This record gives sequence, C-alpha cells and structure tokens, in this order.
Amino acid sequence: MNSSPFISASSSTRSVMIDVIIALLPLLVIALWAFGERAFVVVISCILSCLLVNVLSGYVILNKSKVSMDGSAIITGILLAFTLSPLTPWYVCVFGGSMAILFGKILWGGLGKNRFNPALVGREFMTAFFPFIMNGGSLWDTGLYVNNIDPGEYKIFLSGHFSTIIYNPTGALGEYSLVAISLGGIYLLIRNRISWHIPFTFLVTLSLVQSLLPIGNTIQFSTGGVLLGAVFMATDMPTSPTHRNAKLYFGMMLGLVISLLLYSGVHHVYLSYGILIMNAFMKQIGEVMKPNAWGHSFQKDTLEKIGQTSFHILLITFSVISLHKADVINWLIFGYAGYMLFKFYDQTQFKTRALF
Amino acid sequence: MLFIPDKKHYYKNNDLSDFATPKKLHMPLFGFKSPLELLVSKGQRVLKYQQLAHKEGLFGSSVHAPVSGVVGDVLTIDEWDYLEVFNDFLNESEVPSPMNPEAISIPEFRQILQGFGIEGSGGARFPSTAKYAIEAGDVETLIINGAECEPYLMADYALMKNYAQELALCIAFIQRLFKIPKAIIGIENQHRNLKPILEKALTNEEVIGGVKLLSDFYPQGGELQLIKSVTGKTLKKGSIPAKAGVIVNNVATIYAIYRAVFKGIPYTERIVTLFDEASQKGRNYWVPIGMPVSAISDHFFRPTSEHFSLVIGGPMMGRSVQDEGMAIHKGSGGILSLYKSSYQSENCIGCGYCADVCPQNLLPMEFSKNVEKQDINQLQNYYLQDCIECGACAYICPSRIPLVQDIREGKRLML
Ligand code: SF4
Ligand code: SF4
Repeated sequence: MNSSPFISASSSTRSVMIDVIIALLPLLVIALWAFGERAFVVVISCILSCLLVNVLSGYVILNKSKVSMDGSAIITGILLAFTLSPLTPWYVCVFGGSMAILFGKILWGGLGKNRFNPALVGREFMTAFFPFIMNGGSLWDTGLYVNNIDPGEYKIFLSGHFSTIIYNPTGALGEYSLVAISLGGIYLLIRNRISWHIPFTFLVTLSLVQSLLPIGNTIQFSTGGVLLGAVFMATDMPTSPTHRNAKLYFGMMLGLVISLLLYSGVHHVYLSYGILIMNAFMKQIGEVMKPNAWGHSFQKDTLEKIGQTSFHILLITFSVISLHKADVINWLIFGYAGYMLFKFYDQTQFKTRALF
Repeated sequence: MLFIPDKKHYYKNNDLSDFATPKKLHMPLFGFKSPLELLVSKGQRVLKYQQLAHKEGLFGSSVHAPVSGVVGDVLTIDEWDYLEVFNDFLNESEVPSPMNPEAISIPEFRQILQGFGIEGSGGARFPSTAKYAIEAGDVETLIINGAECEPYLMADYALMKNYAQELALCIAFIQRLFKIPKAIIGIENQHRNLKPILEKALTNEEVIGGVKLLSDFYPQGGELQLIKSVTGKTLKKGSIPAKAGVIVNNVATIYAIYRAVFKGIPYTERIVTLFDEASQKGRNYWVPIGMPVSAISDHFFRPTSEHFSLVIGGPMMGRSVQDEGMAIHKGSGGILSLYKSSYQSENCIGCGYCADVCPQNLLPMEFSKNVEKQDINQLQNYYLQDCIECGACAYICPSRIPLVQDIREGKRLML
C-alpha cells in the first residue's frame, strides 16, 4: 500500500467471527446436553446448509471463492439453530439455512452488505414456507425428549430457582442457559466484539415497560430467548448501528417494539419480528443519531428527526402486528423474496452493462 | 480511543548520533502549500547557512544550505522540486550574526522566523511566521507539543531529554515577548521520566507553567486533541487556535527558534528517528535538512526488498518513498522501513471500530460508502471536511478498508 497508515491492528474479519463462534460454544454444549442427537441434527443441518450455500452461491453470484472462509456462515447456522425447536425436521432446517444465506446475505452482496439478520431471515422463511410444521403445537412439545439431569446430584449446591439459570431446557435450542448466554456475552464484551449499549438499553427498556405497565400476567416471554437476542442477535455487526448514540437508541426502541409485540399477544416470534423491524431502520438510525464532529454543536433538527424515526418505527410495528393478526405475514416474506430476486436481477443487468 | 502498541521503550534511551553528511543534498523547494523562489543559480558556490530559496509573505519561508558546496540542478521527484547541493566538505559557513534576545521586538521576531526558515516540525510544516501573527497579550496559553504520538518515532523524545535547558530558555523568551501567562509542555504518559527533567529546566528559566502528562492514546499529538487535553477547549477543525487564546508549537520547532534567536543559526538540521522493522532497530540522528533517503537507507536499513516499504514521517501519517531521491524536510521526524502489508480489503462489516477510535468523532465507514457512491452531500453531512487524516480508523479496521485513501478521494470530490 502506498498510502498511510503503513501499520495496522492485527485483527481481521475472521478473528472477529472466530470470537463469536467461541462465545457460542457454551450454549452449543448445553443444547447438545439437553437434547442429544436431536439437537445435533438440527445444529448440523443448519451449519452445513449455511456453509454449502455460502460457498456455492457466493462463488456463482458474487464470484468470489473466499466468501466461505470468514466463518460468518457458521455463525448464521448456529444462530438459526438456536432459534429452533430441537424437534425441527432436518430438511426444514436445511431449507432455513439455505434461505438465511441466500436471502439474508448473498443477494444483498455478501457479508456486511446485508440489512437483516440472516439467521432471523432464514427462520421467517421457514415459517412462511412450512407453516404447518413451524406453527404446529407438537414442535414445542419437547418434554418427552429432554435429557433431564438427575435433580438430586445437580441441585445439591443450588437452590431450585438458581439452578434454572444454569440449565432450563424449554423453548428454542439457544435458550437453555442464562449463564451460558451471559458467559458468551461477557467474552464478546471483553474482546470488544459487541458493545454494552444495545443489550443494556434493550433489556432496561423491556423491564421498565414491564414494570410500569404490568397488564396482569398475560405477557409471556422467555428470558433465555430475550437474552440470546440481546447478546447475539441485536448486536449483529452488519445489521445494527455502528456508533454509540445510535446503538443506545436502537436498543431502546427494540425494547419498546418488543414490548408492543408482547402486549399485542404475539408469541414465539416477537423477537425475530422486533429485531427484523429494527434492522430495517438501522441505516436511518445511524444517520439521525450521528455524533457531532469535534467542535461542532448539536444540530437543532436532530430532535425532530428522532421523533420522526420513532414514529416510523412504531407505525411499522403496528402494521406488522396487524399483518400477524390477519395471518398474512408469510405474504410479506414472499414479497421480500420477490423483491430480493428482482433487485438482484436488476443489479446484475446493471453490472454487465458496466462491464462492457 | 486507540492505543497503538510499539516498542519505543526498547530504544528510546539511545543517545543521539550524527549521520555522516552525504556528498549531495536535495534541498526541498516546497514550503507550506507553495513553492519557494530560488536565490542561487546552478554552479554557484554557497556557504553553510546561506539562504538558497525563500518566499515572502505571511505564509513565507526559506531554506538554507546545511553544508558548503556547489549548487546543481532543480530536480522534480515524485511531484516535488528539490535543489541539488554538492557538498565540498569544507564546512565553510556564513558567520552567524549574534543577537540580543532581550532587545528583539515582535516584528523583528517574525522577521527572524521567516528569514531563518522556521516552520512547524510536527509534519504539517505550517510557517511559524503565520503562527506568531499575534500581538503581546493575545494568547493565554503556549502549548509545547511533546506528545510524539506516532508509533516508532522518538526524535522529540530525544530532543526533550538532551536539550531541556535550551527548550526552556526559548520558551521563557517567547513567554516574555508575547506576555503569555502560561506555558505547558505536553508529553505522553509513557515518557513521564522526562517530566522532572523538563520541570527543572522550566523552573531554572523562570517559565510560568509546567509539564502536563497526556494519555498514551493515539493521536494525542493532534493539535485539536492537545488543546483540549491542556486547556479543556474544544476547537473546531480549521479554527485558528490563537483566536481562542492558544498557540501550539512542536518541541522541535521551539528548538529551531532557539537556535535562530540565541545562536543566529537557520533551520538546517533536525533530529530524525530511523527505524527498521526487520531488525526492530531504531535510533535517533541529527540529520541535515535535504538529506536524501538514499544516503540514509544505504547505511541504515537492511537491503530493501519488495517486502519492505520506506516511509518518510511516522507510520500513521507519513508518506511512502517512491524514489530514494526524496529528502528529509523540516516536518519529517523519521524514516522507517516497514513490512508491506499483504491484506486484501473486504466488505465493511459494520463493526464500528473506526468510529470508536476517531479523535474527531466522525463515522469513517460512511466516508468509504459515500465516496464509492460519489455522494458529496452525504460526505458533507458526515463532516468529511473535519477529518484530520490521522489514520486511526484505517489502522483498526478489521476489513482492511483503505479508509484514509477513500477519505482523501472524498476530499478531492468535495473540492
Ligand atoms: S483519519 Fe479522519 S476519519 Fe479516520 S480516525 Fe482520523 S480523523 Fe477520524
Ligand atoms: S472499522 Fe472497517 S469494517 Fe468496521 S465499521 Fe469501520 S470501515 Fe467498517
């Protein structure tokens, strides 16, 4: 390189990804411990399909063979598996993994260019294309298969309540251990792969709304799921804002949106909806909340812009709630798929023109 | 905030040495944003300290012969003009005219700065005449920049360690002349062993002020960041510090002023750090202005191969050497031989590290994106013009995006 600076820090995108994988490992162990080979099948089919589609479509569409090397496909696979029931059939997982990479990442232009969390995109595709499997009650009826650890041995040191934060195998694969999720989160914080801003404001807002507006005990959410979302999903680098102010706002609005979804009676999918909605506003938030440059003063129209953005976010949230109630969310997904294909077609046309 | 690890502590106590004067010098004929006019012609014999070229006016400057010898051609090397001077090794000098520092008036002082070719030594080469376009009482704080935040460079460190007394003498003189109530030398925390040495010297010369330890974060030596650390004032880029009652001078500039005022010697040599990454060897030398890189690289660096690049200045903000005819100028604090990086840049992953380390509070990733789109409005909207090109963002980027290159491109687009 002929331009300054002539030295650089040693970290690379790959080392960032490796850290995330390390942080996910304890959760993986717990999931496998709880559901044995069932969990293994789900995780492996997600990871393998992600890797495979990443290499193939990356090679064909982006014409870059190195896309497979950065480790982000493995993360997408693990995260996708973590949102699923251990009883999800493997072929549905394979479908989800493929869609996650294709429509969540590659068609956007590859790692970093995507606007939505790929794992959650994959999950929504699964729900849209396999509604009977994904919404069927039996999918979450996992009690029969769980590997219950001998309570006598395991609860000697811990009170019953305390032990549930270490091991509580209900819900999706990534939700079984609050301790494991927190450990992963702390590791990522120490390694500076996530910052505290989004998880903190998200969790604080969510609990504030909960305690200020307790409408009975009707609101049910999984603490594990929320923590998983806060640490690993909402903080996803490409799909969340890049700087402090915007992150604080992003987390706060995410808490608000998720509360709204919960109050409206959206079950199971409130987290994916909430994060995907916020993903859609990531760019706008980044711009509205941009820091003042050194020596510049606060821009007066900022407050107005923040108000506008918040209004838009709430509007979209209510629309999503209505679509969900009307049971037509899958059409939204079909529409998204169509749009992505069209966009891709359009861009490649453009690219070929530019080439010649 | 960015902390760049380096190994200054390994070699910072090395003493100063002189580098053998070369047979031929390449005197830079470019000043701050403008070329200098030649005062000598080809074939003419010049004495050491003789003025070779100058430029009048507020931003004027001049350059002097560091050796006696014969003038050669004007060479254009990598877009810049240099004047050849062939050393005759006789070392015959113009007799420095002694002055009485106590009798110098402010206008005379400015004349000295210009006539003796004093300019900023920290890299930007801002003419000191323009900096001192102030009157007595205009300025509250004189900040002396001893925060050599560029990794590997330690020329200022050596200067402060070995010439504390001279620096203090000059600071006291400037403080009296312009009636400046406070003078502060800012040094990095990692060099705090200098604090007692400098403090003693300042007390001896009855300077009102002191030494301030600054954090080791990069770029602590940036003028705006330094002003903030010392005075608490946040100045916008492009504002004139003197209007806020502050004036900032690099330690090497202060030393050059000292030599001009107290010895009558023009700015003809400076301390330069030579650093070789392959051998992890670094050392400070007194080097004449105009010393071509070739004269140094032959002696100091391992044979340069395609794996190394030579850099004039620091690794963060320096310039790569395209041609070894390029020479030391008054703003170059080092010549380095560094490993070439072989990384390929990838997509921005939105990690935000670049924003975290930007001292100007900017969002560098937006610059790259919008330069690609050629969106000048957005570049403005994201305050591209406030970037000081410190390179912190590009240093930290895990995707190895050439952010500084993009930023320069963006600034060209905005012109
Ligand atoms: S080069 Fe510019 S944008 Fe990058 S860190 Fe320095 S001031 Fe900020
Ligand atoms: S450091 Fe590089 S990869 Fe990270 S946000 Fe900045 S430009 Fe993008």
